[in-house]
Amino acid sequence: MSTPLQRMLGAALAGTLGAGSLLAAEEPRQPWSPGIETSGYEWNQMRGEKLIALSQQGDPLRGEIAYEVCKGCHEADARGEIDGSYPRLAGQHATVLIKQLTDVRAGVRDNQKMYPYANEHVITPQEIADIAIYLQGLQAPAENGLGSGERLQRGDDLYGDHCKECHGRHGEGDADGFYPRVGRQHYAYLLREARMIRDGERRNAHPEMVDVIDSYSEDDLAAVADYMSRLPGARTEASAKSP
Amino acid sequence: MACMMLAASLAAADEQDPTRALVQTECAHCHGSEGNATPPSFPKLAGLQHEYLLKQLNDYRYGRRESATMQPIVESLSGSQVQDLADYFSRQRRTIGTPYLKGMVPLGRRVYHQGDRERGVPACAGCHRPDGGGTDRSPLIAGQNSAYVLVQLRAFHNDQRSNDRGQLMRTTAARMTEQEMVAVSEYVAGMDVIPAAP
Repeated sequence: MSTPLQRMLGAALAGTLGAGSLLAAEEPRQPWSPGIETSGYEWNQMRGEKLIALSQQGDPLRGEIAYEVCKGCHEADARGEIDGSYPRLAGQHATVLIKQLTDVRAGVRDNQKMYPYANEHVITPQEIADIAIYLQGLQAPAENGLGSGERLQRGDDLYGDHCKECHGRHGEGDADGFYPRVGRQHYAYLLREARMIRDGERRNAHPEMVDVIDSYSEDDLAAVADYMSRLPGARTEASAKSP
Repeated sequence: MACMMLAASLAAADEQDPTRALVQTECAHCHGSEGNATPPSFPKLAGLQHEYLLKQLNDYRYGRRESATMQPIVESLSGSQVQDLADYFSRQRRTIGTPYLKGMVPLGRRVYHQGDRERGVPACAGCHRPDGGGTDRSPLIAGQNSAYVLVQLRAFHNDQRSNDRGQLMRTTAARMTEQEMVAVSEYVAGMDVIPAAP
């Protein structure tokens, strides 16, 4: 016959020892929607909450509060990580952020790691617009991840031929076209995403971009990612003066 | 004699302040008169965000957070008493705590401020802030008793506590190892407590 205290201690001990053997909680699973692998795929289809978030007036003050849940990975100043594990979000176009976030939520861009922190139970469609406008207004910190710097001429050539038209001469992207600002993004992130786009694994990719970089070797991908990571990401005073 | 007079005057003060009297009869035994619980398995309530306290108390009342001890206590309180208690404890100043396994603190510090990029564990600092002060959405964690924090992390990890917003804590804890949960619990206990605004 055990005393209540003994039973309590026993239960506490069992809890301690048993903790590791219990199954971990099932996290919210990202849904799957047809993407580039499906015939009839339409890039950046305007529907659902993407349309809602794009039509909302974003409020950067509310966005700063709602951004709280993103900080644990993308950092308080949205600089991401130098090693490219998480992209820099500061200074990105609001339209691009809304497109990518809603693509993840809809399951067209696969990202199970992020989904539990970005789904509709955590961030409302209005907050998507708020966060996006807040991040767009943040100054990107000076330092970002760069490549080796060994094949920048090759990167320059490829960028001029294939990328500049959409992503801009300075890597500034195009807010209206939903083309991301790539200048001063972390190299390893750019390389990883470019590889996934080439290989059909980034399922929300632009089909024309897949065609363009389809023949790129690993070295070419690295060269152009390195080149992009060094672009200013905006028209600078120096570049504005050059022809 | 002076001691008895002090006790008498304190009792008189309690009679005049029904919230303090309520704290003494219902809460102080486990959580301390000022909400700085000394037994390590009980949570400190001092300085917790008003919204957070209110939510937890109501979650006990309606069974969204399970506790055979807390539920009957909250059920015996009126809505305005719950409000008063949340108000009272949110205004108390939290004391600094003690890490018991000091060797775990460096790992805890790293997980708290950096998370784990490979497994997608976000840094605790993101929501609970680098100083552990928390926000309106995420509670103050600095100085909290380590045994309590560990029990809660395990409960989230195992899906046994489920009143977290958007499953955020369940997801995060489930991605953590037992060692990381122990380490973070030890680290937060010893964090400096930044005094809340008066």
